[in-house]
Amino acid sequence: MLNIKNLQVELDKTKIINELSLTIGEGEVHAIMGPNGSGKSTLAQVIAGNPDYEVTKGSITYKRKNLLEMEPEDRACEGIFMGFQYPVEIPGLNNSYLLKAALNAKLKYQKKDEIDAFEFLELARKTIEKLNIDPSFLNRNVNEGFSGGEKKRNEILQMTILEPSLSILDETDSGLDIDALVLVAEGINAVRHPKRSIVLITHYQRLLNYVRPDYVHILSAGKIIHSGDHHLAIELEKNGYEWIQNKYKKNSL
Amino acid sequence: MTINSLKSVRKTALKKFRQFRIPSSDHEEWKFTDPSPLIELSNTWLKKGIPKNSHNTKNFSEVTKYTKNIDAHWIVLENGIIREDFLSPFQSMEDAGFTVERFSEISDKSCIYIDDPMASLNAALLDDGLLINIKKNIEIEKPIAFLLLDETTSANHISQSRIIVNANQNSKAEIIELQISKGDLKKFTNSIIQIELLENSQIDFLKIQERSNCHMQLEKTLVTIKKNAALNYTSVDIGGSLIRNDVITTMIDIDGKAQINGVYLSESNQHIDNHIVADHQIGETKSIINYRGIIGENSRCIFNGKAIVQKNADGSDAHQSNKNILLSENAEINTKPELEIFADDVKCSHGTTIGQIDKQLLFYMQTRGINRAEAKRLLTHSFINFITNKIEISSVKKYLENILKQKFLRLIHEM
Repeated sequence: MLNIKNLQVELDKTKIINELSLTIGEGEVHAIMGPNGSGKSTLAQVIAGNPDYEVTKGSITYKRKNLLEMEPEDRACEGIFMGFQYPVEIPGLNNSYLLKAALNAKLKYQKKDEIDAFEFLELARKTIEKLNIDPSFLNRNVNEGFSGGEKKRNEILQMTILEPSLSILDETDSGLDIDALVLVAEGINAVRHPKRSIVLITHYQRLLNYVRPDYVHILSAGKIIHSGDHHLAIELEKNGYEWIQNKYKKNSL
Repeated sequence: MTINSLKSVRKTALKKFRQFRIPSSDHEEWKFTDPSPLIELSNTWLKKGIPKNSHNTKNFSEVTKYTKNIDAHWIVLENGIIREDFLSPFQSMEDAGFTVERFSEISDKSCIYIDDPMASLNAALLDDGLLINIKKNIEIEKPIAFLLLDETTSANHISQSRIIVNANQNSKAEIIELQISKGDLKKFTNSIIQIELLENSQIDFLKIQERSNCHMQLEKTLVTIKKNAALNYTSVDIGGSLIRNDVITTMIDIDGKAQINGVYLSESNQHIDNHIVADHQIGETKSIINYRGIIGENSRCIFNGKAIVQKNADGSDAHQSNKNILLSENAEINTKPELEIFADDVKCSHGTTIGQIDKQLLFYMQTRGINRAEAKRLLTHSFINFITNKIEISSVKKYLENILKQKFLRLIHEM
């Protein structure tokens, strides 16, 4: 599905990602963990196509296509979804309007018939019911006046409706209380599918108690220093990032 | 019923105009909009006498193209003159709760305001005008809609239009002013709207300006607001080459309210200037001015909002806000919110912002599959959505949404 090779990324001439390689297969759930400033969010932004970040080396292929040559909107239409760490507020723009526009953009790209207002409303209603989301979400402006938890759940709502092949969720668990975390995790589990892959970017192991990843990667200074299965996350929670960083240093010496 | 019956008004007005002259850009109020090109134009017309404005009764479809969209009491003015072939029977308007009279028919012509340069020029060259009287204790169901259709039949055409609206006690009405031009020759319109709101009356006024790119227009809207009366004014400027709007509201008794909203969207070399005044003559009155602009290409817009709280007008509430998005490096906005406060106990605020389309918002929308140009259109459209969201009549809303959409397609056309 996604193949990252020797990726190097700069932001304002500062190297943030350095020689990063990662392969994500169909249907797999990967967790990327790491301390603050290790490059986790940058990786998500680069995959989504944020023009502020400059890829200076390496390659990313997605479904055998060169991802780095694609516009952000084309990446989205090809099935990449990014859940933002800080979803933006768009005053004046209706949430369901954006959702419908997003879904229709994707359908149009895939040369399928666009969805009409009636069909969309039915789909949206069903989805919010399934996700246990307040129906008022649809009529409000995009994230305007939403609490932190509501914003994250709105991202999950978008993801569920857009049915992406690859979802990258950037700290979707941060700032959530335990009830909201469980709801978000249920939303993520609901999109798990043998054809769909998920990347969870997180600081903490607690989300992984509810969404069990197939692989866990530790990112440090822009590089994956260690990979394992979900046990690695538990070990990490117990011993902290310093432990793993030291271990990596020893190994490389 | 002839022009002759306006002769004395015209004569007095001309005398006044000769004293005033057209202001130039030396004048603070006209600093950014230089009206001097109009001097020559008006002198020509003053020498020539009354412009021979006629209307072409053949172009029925030109008019119905607009009027069919909105169910309203339509009053069509072509080059400032009422088109009787489109007028609903006077009786039906009378039954609906208002009357329409030509200036030439009214006996007391003192209501025709001539005390500033453009108003006196307007009156000096006036063919005729309309006086609308909304009856007491009535809420008019359908909007009263004016189609101001200005046709250029010869180069440097000039037309004057004037509408006076009196809202009597306890009346409520919605008024639409739709401004269209036809033809591609240079054209100048000088429009004056006078509105008087008597006790407990309310007028919701929506102006939609869709002039062509060779049309210059000055429009002055003068509003007097009495006790517990309310004006909800909305202005939408889309077209025109040089546009100057003056909206001057004066609250002369307690609990008078003025809500003045506007949007201006400019492209190519358009020049759109909005000068808004909320004059609190007495306390316990309220004004809110809220204007937003989206300025593209080489165009220039001006916003000047002034709230005046007169001495002893304690308890006044005056707020104004102006927000702008610049779409290009060459686009320009000159914005100046002003407060002139001579009373002690007042609640006043003002604020203005100038920015560009937020890159983060743009990227967010792109990650949702929406292409850059469409994302920009949606973001700029949502920036001015507060205007259309307030409109309750669905046919009006639909009409406005549609013309805004067309404008955004012209404004943002990358990729």
